[in-house]
Amino acid sequence: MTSKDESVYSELGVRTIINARGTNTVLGGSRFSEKVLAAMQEANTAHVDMEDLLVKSGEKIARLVGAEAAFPTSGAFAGLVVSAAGIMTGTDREKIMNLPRTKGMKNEFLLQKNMRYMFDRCIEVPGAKLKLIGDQHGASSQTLSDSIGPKTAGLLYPVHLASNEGAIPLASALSIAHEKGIAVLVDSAFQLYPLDHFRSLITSGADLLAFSSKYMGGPNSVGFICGKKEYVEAAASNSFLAYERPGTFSVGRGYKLDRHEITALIAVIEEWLDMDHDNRIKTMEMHLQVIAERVSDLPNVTIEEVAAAPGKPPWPQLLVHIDENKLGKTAKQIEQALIDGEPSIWINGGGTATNLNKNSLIIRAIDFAEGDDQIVAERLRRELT
Amino acid sequence: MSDIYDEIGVRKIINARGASTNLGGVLLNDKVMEAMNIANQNNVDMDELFHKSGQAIARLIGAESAFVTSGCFAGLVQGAASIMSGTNPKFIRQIPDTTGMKNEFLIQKQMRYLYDHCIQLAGGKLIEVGSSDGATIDELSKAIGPQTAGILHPVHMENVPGTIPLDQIVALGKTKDIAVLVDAAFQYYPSSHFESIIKSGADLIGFSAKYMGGANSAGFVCGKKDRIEALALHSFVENEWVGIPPRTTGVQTFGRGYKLDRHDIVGMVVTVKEWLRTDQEERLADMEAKVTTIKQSLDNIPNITLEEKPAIAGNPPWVELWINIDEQNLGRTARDIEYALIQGDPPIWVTARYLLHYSGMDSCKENFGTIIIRPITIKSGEEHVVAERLRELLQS
Repeated sequence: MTSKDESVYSELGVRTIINARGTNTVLGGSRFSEKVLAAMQEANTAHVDMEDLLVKSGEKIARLVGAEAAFPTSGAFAGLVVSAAGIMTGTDREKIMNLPRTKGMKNEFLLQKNMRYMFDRCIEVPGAKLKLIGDQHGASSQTLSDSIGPKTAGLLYPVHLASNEGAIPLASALSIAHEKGIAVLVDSAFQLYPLDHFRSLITSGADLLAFSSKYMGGPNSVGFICGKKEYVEAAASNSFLAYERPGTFSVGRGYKLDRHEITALIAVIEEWLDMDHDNRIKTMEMHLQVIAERVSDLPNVTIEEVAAAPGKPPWPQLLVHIDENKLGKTAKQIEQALIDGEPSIWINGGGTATNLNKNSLIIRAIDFAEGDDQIVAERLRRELT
Repeated sequence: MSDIYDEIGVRKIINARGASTNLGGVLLNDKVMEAMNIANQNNVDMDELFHKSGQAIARLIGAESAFVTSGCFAGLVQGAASIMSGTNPKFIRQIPDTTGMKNEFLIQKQMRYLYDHCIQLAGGKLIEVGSSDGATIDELSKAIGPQTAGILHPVHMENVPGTIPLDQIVALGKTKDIAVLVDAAFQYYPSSHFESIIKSGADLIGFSAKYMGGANSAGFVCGKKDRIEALALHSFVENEWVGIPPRTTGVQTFGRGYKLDRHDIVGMVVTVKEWLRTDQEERLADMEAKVTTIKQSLDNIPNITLEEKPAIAGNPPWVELWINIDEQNLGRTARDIEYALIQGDPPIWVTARYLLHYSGMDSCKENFGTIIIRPITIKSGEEHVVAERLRELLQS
């Protein structure tokens, strides 16, 4: 992206930033490509029936990604909420209207204890209960099988945590769940790369999967669900659209979408599937290389380049491990110093919720403008010296 | 020329129904669309954007405080949640389980409406006060008990006979120390009416963007500073830590799914700004001209009478044309006509007027034999197509 117009932000007194952190929700996700922007503009030229648009878009997405059925949602999390709701209610109008009161419904979702994560709240929002199985070292297939009881509605499976110690692999979880007649809800928000990994999840036999659009370069507040037809229909029956059919109050009423968000979603999925991913990743690696070279000679610093891999967000990362004691600064302090500086640079210092990479800086070059790599490299060198 | 809708296989329609959610609201004002495009050119810290945009809106409309939300309904859900939870992180984490919180919201029985479900979604309980004849302030006062968290007041229902108006509700809330949550989704015309609601002293007031020319999925809540701060704690940015020391709580929020994009938030501010500088007379005159075109086309048709409804305080900010039909003599109902218009080419969406009666699951529709035309969403030139098609259907 070349010229940047900052007027709408300077008017509000909001600082623009260099995003070296990734497509974080708190940074508003991605910036859109010209093609996505064009799809948004086009959407604003005509009125359509949202039901027609949502249903046909769902069909189109299903064709594109090779799923049985799909439906646009207001982000992956909202997709998980309406999916959890749909698993409990089916298309039963009375049940849909009762949520988050789940009396008379199967309302428990199992989750492996070592797969707990910051978005498992999606189960509680529509009124269900999360039931943890196993321990911090994992869970056995037997435990999963034994934990399925008369109140069990489904299994929540955040697939990015499948590599955690002792986690039951998705394929085994699916076969146990289906043998016992419960649904499997997969959080696969950013499981989009490589494309064969993406497709393997979609054809895994999972009942419902939720994806986010922002990792593909689409809007922050858009995503889609896909999976078995009857489950997608049940989830759609809990969406904002369902509320507009008089007399069906749905838990998803607040997860509204605009025409332009739905057309942007279609455009970004098409773009993602057609994209030269080797080239996309190579560009990011070149930016990271510029930064790595600028700081690799410094004492108290070790550089690690991590390639984009299945199960991870679809970008390479540069890890800068630091000896906090000798440097006299923590990773968190460096993160803040970069945010406070001019221009403001956002990286991830000290990892996130886990203790992993506690003493490291994580840099991702997903959205660099020309010259941003040099700026980040210089500023980082100053902070690490 | 083929476009994205052709590619998806979606039929374009003429929207003569207004800013309906199921029709995606209005087409965005050019200035809003332009600002949205510019918003895409840079990255920003969403927490900062939320707070500064809220301050900008508060200044523009003269409110104490404001916060952008993912539509008015999402704002009401977060509003209800925050009235129950306050700033207590344990309670915020727990919603919609409201154990340990005051969780009842009062509503006047004859003010029950389509969106009062916002209370239930946050885990609250709606308690009806009064009867179908109305409610008195005394009845409302007596209904306040130890579990009462607030009063839900949909201000557009004030034109139902026997209802208690907002100023008395606010005074009662103040005396009894309970919050007043106002649904004012489309209450911004005329400007004196808009201002009176903002200045009413209500704790939290929800507005929608789409009636102002903004997005279908954007809105804002304004009101008292401490109430807005509690509401903001339920927003999606709180779910993650931002800043060192953290400016956000990292509490997993109920509102995580009510996400917004940079362009949604910037678009909301520009929508408000544009609305405030719109020449309202000109805006309404454009709608009136379209009504006149349609009226002229339907002149002298038997079995119908035409009524032009001006924009008035309490109603959405638009002009309507009501076509009252003698269904017996015509041999067709308003619903038949509505359906035939949707089935035609291009599809035209109007509203066959009905009233929904609520009593839990049992909502029933009362038919009035009236078709409502709302020119706000009729694009220039389309009024002739609407006029012609209506004429054909009503003549036969």
